[in-house]
Amino acid sequence: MKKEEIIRVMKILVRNKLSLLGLIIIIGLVITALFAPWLAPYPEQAKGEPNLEEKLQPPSSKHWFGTDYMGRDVLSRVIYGARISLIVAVAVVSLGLLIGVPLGLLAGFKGGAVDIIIMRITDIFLSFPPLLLALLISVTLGRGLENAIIALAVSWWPWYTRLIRGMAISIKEKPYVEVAKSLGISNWKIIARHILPNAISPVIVQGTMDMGSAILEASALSFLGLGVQPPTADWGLMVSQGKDYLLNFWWYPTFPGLAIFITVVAFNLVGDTLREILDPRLRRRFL
Amino acid sequence: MKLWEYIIYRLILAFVVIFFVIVIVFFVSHVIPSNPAALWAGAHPTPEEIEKAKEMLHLNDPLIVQFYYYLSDLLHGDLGVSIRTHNPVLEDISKAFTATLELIIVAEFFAIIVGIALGVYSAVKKNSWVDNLSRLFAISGVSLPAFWFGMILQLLFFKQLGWLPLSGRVDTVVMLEHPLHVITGLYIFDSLITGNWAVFKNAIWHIILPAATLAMYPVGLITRQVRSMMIEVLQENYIRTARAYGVPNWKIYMKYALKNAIAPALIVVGLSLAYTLVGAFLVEIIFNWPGLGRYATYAILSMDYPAIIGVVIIAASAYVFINLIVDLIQMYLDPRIRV
Amino acid sequence: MDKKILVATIVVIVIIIAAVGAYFAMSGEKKPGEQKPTPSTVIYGYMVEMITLDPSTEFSNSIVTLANLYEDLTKYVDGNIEPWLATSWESNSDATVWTFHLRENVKFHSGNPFTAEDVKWSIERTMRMGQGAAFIWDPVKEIKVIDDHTVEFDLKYSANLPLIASASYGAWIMDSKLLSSIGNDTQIADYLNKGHDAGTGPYYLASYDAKTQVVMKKFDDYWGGWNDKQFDIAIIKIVPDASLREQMVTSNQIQITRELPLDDIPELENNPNVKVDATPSYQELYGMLNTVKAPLNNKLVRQALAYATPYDDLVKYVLNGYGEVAKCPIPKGMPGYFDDLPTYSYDITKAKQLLDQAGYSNGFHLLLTYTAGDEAEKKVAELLKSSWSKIGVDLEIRALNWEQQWSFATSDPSKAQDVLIFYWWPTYPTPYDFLFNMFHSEEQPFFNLAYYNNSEFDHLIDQAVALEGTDMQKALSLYHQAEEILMEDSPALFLYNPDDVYVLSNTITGFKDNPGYPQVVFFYDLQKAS
Repeated sequence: MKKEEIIRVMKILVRNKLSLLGLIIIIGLVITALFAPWLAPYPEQAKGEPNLEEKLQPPSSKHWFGTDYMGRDVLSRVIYGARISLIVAVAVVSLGLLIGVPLGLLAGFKGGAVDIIIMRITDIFLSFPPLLLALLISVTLGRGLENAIIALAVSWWPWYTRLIRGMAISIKEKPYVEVAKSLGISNWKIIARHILPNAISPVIVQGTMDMGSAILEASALSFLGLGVQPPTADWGLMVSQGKDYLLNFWWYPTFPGLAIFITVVAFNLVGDTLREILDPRLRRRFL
Repeated sequence: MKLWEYIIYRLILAFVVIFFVIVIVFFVSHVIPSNPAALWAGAHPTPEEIEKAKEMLHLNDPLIVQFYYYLSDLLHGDLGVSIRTHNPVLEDISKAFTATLELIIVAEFFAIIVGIALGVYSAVKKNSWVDNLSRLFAISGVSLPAFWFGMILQLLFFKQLGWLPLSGRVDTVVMLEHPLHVITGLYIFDSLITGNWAVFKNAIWHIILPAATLAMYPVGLITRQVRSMMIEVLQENYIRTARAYGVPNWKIYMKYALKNAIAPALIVVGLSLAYTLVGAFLVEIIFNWPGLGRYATYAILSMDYPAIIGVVIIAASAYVFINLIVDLIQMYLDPRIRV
Repeated sequence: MDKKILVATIVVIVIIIAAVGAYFAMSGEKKPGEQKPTPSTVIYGYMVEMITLDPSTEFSNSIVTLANLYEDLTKYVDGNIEPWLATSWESNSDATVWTFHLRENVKFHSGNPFTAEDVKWSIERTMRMGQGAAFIWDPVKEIKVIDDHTVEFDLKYSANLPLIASASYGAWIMDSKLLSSIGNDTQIADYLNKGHDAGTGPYYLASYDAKTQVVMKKFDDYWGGWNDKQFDIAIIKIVPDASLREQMVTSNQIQITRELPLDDIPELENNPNVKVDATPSYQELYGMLNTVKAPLNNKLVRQALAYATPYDDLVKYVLNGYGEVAKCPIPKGMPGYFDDLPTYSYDITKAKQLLDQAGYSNGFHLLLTYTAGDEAEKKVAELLKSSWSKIGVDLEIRALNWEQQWSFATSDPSKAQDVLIFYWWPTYPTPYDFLFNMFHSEEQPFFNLAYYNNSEFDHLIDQAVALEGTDMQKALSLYHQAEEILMEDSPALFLYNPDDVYVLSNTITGFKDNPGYPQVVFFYDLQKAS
């Protein structure tokens, strides 16, 4: 993607009210995550320090979002939870890209048997209900953040492989690649110099758009107790723990869930607009 | 590739997928440090009981022999016995399946009605604030963590307003006083055709919240799809011609435009079916719905491998076949995407 | 044309479905105008699914059903053994031969009379199958039918048989005439699990669905008789969701339930529609310390952890006050509980001193495992982490499924966890059940998950259990000595004994929790409140 094109896309994003809203929320989220220790009123409680005397207090001027079953400030924990969510989003997507892109390039550029094998493998992965796959993998690997990320990435990469393979095939036919080939330049160099740079931008865009879904799926795993382990602050985990307190202590599950919702909406607002600009026919990814 | 070759390819693929799943789940569940014998024997077993359980589950045989036992049972249509509940998996699953099916049908019904209405309306009022609002609504629908949204609905409609029940499928007492003759296993349908109004009303009452929660994702998808199809159709020449002839607006929208927009929208319905199958996992837990999702989640969390494989076979088959059917319809409607 | 075919197909399908439905609807008899008085119903909202209906093998939560369908020879009530199907019993002087006199005029639900033959057949079947709690009958050599209402047990070694016969698992008496006509042991299990029962209890099984509900109806010929205030129908309804159970009991959709979120109980105490019944249970939460792996192989370090544990906070915040600090390896209320044992209390200075003495002033890393899904264990783990960090312990918390937690713990002690949190409760109320399973030395780790090995301790408890049938006083003094050793060696943290907290609708009375039969509601005791 050229510089001018990026600027053009950004302009459209900013001009559309909804995607602007999304952008603002995402930027706010990143700032929150970066400056969590300064923003959170009770950083120690966010890290897990119990504050038992004040357990399950309703929202007040002291604790805006109330406190949880250990008396910890829910607002502080929601703020710290932004970190985990962003880490998960970035890690899942980049891990997915790391697996998916090389395989897609290889399949698209080499063609033949390599292509067939790689694409049949992606077919197998894609014909599996995705959350189910992630659930199975993370239960197998054991509970924990890293394992949840791996589980999600493993169910994620085939989308990128498919996407980049298509790009690679069309670029392969371009005259400059033909020329490079006829000059005897090695395959690796051709992939690195010509195909990757020209094929990567739509994949990166797709990856950015996917971060919302990654957060949503990760929160589902956390909700089932398979993600981050307590006492780390994580939105999905907080909703899950708050489930038992729902009826009498409504604030506890409500605010972390709201944080997930707003974050995912923000990513999807931006993604929706991007999709309209770049490729309206791009098939929407399913959870 | 001809059409039938494509179908055969997809079917073979489906079997390969399911076979791989069986292999992976089986070996993984036996290799990771867990103890199916302990799960079978329950809390506080004696060493002799663990030995017995091991023998019963063939755990002392080499892994490959165990796998052979499992596969040969499977080929005879026997999915084995759940280690957790000690029930035949097939029996567990078939009971749970109808509960999930009922939930999905109602949710999709919700989704189609709301989605089409919203989609048509925002296409007609393109770029108005209503359109923007419906876009926000649609995007919210696909962004909602279902498990959280379900809880919010419970808080609102059960705790605050007291209008709807918190969870479950039907009240025990109602079922006792008005025994339901189960025919299909879909309570709403069964109670309707047997004229059991008490159960019918009760079942409807119970399904509203979980179905609404589950419907949010497909509502979002269908709204967006119908909107974009409608916009495309409204620009076609014959619509303009109809306008020129003075056909009233509502008739144009309903009779001409919607008719052409609806087929592609149905594809989204098909695709979202596959999603709702998985979405039901979380929704069923929140609403204590005795379906496949709740069963699967508990099975996975306790590494009850016969149950996991059973559920996965059902879920993956459903997913694969729904996708296949959707793709075929898509190819039929739009020959350009033939492989 | 294809549209017409489509429409026609749909119409045909609808007609067929309607016809089938109508057929079934017609075939169900309808009795218009018939008005019966509504039978009185009581519903127990229970947390988890039933496992099996076979009394010989059941060793989990399904006793909540079985205890209303079947009866034991004896019943454990508040530390005493009381008559149930047996009216009296006696033994020879060294407690190796026991004679039970059986209640007369007792009928099974099938109408068959209850005789000594049924006792012999039931217990022999349980022993033969060797599953579940069958091990409780290990002392039994032979069961002899003396006459229709007298049965004699010859033992291999001295044992307190009336206590064993009161067990909540594996001691239920079945209808031998009915069941032996069904077939072999497996066929009998199948028959029972299809929703049949063969007991003498006050209720018989009317319908059974392990995942949703168990419906039991009053057995008119019950030997104990009936009064008008008791319930005609008793239902166990499976409702895993705690908040749902809470709502159901406050709105009288169910009349009794347990395991509600403890944080909600104070509010329920003030709710006029319900009452809260909290009684100490025979459960104890332990933190098993790995005695074979550094640094916890050092007694001083284990004692330091015991001093650095905030017992009062655990009870106050995890149990919300519904329970007590465990002062000893045996839960309060059971034989073998002593309140005069030297015990540990929260004392950070003392803990630091001990660590300095042991040479661990710079702290260390420990791995704790708990059973995933258990909220209370999770909170305990979090509180331990925060408290132990004050003496330099860096605690890593890992949630595992019980099967994984156990298989990790029993694989190789030198690589296993350092701290393992789990509950223990007795098969029948004897201290030996606790002390033997958790602390008696084992060749292969099984439930001794502290990997504790002390031959003096082993010897004391083995001696004590042999005396239980003849000289309980002597047995208790030996248990006391053994427990003193445990307190000194500190192979485990004795954390707390939770209360059994039931919440009952005000429409019922007569409930009395019996910790000897965990989680059981004896529906026969319940009455309509006037």
